[in-house]
Amino acid sequence: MTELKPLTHQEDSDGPPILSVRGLQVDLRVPGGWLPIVSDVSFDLRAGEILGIVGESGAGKSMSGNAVTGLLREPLVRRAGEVRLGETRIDGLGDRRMADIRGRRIAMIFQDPLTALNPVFTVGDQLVETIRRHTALRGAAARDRARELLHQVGIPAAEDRLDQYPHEYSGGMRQRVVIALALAGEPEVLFADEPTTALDVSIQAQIIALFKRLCHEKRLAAALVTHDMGVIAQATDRVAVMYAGRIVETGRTADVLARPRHPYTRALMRSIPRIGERHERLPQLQGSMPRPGALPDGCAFSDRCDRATAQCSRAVPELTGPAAHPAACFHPCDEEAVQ
Amino acid sequence: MTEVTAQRAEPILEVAGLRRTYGDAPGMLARMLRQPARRVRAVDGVDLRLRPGETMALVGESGCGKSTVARCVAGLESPSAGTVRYSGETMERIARRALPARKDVQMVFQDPYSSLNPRWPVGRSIAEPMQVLGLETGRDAAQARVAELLSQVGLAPEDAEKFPHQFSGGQRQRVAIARALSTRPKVIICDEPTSALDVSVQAQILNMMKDLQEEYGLAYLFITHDLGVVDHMADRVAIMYLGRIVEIGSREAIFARPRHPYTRMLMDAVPRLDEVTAGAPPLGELPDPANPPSGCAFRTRCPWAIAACAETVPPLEEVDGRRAACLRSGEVA
Repeated sequence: MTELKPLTHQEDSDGPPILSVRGLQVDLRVPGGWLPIVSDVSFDLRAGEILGIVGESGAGKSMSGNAVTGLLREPLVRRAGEVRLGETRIDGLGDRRMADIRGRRIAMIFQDPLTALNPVFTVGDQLVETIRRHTALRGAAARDRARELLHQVGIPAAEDRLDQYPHEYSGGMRQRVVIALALAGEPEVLFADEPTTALDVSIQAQIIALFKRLCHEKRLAAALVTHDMGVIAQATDRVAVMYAGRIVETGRTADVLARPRHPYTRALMRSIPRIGERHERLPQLQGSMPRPGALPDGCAFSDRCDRATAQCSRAVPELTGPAAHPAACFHPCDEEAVQ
Repeated sequence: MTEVTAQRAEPILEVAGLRRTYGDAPGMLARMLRQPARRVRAVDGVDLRLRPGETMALVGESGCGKSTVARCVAGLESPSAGTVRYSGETMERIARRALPARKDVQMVFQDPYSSLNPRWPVGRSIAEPMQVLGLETGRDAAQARVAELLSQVGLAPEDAEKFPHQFSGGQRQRVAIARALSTRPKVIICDEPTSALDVSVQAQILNMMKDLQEEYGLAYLFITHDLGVVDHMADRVAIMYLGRIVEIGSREAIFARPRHPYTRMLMDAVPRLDEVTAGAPPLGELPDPANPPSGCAFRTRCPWAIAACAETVPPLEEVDGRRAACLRSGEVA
């Protein structure tokens, strides 16, 4: 087995990664060629740690997750990159072996709990089926485990709730069921894609608290994909900010949010209306993220960036700077803090 | 417009005792099975006054009735009870008699993709309200007005020929705002106008809406669940829970110190960017609107609730420079 190249930009104090991604590239097949959707994305997930992957629509954050979990479908193709789960490379595995890994070793949570649940089976049936597929538990033991999982995700009166159908649950309770289903196979890795986006803020706060508690208690290596910087701030330990298919900045969440180094991260943070900080006008970014195939030369952010120079149009900047907080920028905002 | 002049001016929009109930009398089968009628009071007695040039934010979580208020106020739904008046004239008379005041109110929806006809070039969508109301009937005049509106919202006159799918989400919302402006309204009802947009695009749209307000003296009834947006946009704020307003007053007063426990809970639940929230998350979930708790509807989730809260629905009462509907509003911190 080839030696895994360590990431230069991460502290390695937290033990070996459970899941490692290196040089991930996802392209869209178009007549006569390929359009890059995700380029050179690398990250590690460690036990008991939540990595946030944040970006606006079209940044490639969900595609990165889908490429790792083997959920890409034509015309989207993973054309390069290594994915390791522990010691094992899983990027070349076929659909059947990936399906086996998903659910058992890598679990997933999506935005809309109704699509993840089968409307014609009770919640108990769905939990028991998942437990039987991924563990040795059968019969009454499987049902006991199902009840225990509902209890763990904070669903009151779990015994009665087992026999109810998804439509009898509220939106917040359904997302708790989805989390229980994800935990049923006792996975090592958890990918959550916009898990709170469809929820009201009060319910979102509950689900974030639950997600953090479970990831930390069960030592899950978790990735949380979201567009919401508030969710990133509250739920994640580390963050990777994506723009036009690339990670442009990464580091400990508190550092990245308080002292963003990439001009995009800084502009994004400033454009969020916050309670207690009324501006006459919100500092705004002009334009919008370029579409795949219409990227400017060099840095994809250069056409919207107030720090861009001629250099920025000549080459794509790589992640550089402090190992714990690199940014992909030739002119990072190192002389000033955001506030 | 400053708070002082806004308070002096006569309200342009006045909502009194607005109710909207859904669900009909039970059908034959339900009657035979002796099932109770399932009626939902989506809006249960709402009073609002909007003055020229001011922004009133109507805030709450899903199911609180804020969008139903918006639709009744815009005349898209008929209230079950209560009145909606524009400059003193009831919405009913305005609609029935096709009074000129019909052009005074327009609406902008959350999803511009579903509020614009995908088969029409956007210029036709923008011109439609003017044609329906007989404002700019000549072909050249209408075209000139569409071009003017497009440039007011930061688009190019040539964009009139394009179809909705040729625009980004933010640009489509600009088109929807141009259409709302076409009749030179005095009030725009905005139902979550930026909730579907990325934050960098949201900032562009919010800034533009403020500029347009200043230029044309527009009043906004701004429906949103995002308290950050409320603090940025609103002059006054109304917080709704299960069909009723639980707190209403100036933005300064409410954000400085909420006096209803629900407002407090909402503010605490907003994920902060600068620090990880300590303490337990909010309690519980919205009760079934068809079967609301007795007394104060929020008492089942309220850390301040006492036995008396189950007895009566607390009225909105003056406290600390705003009105709040809570028996313990004097104590809420």
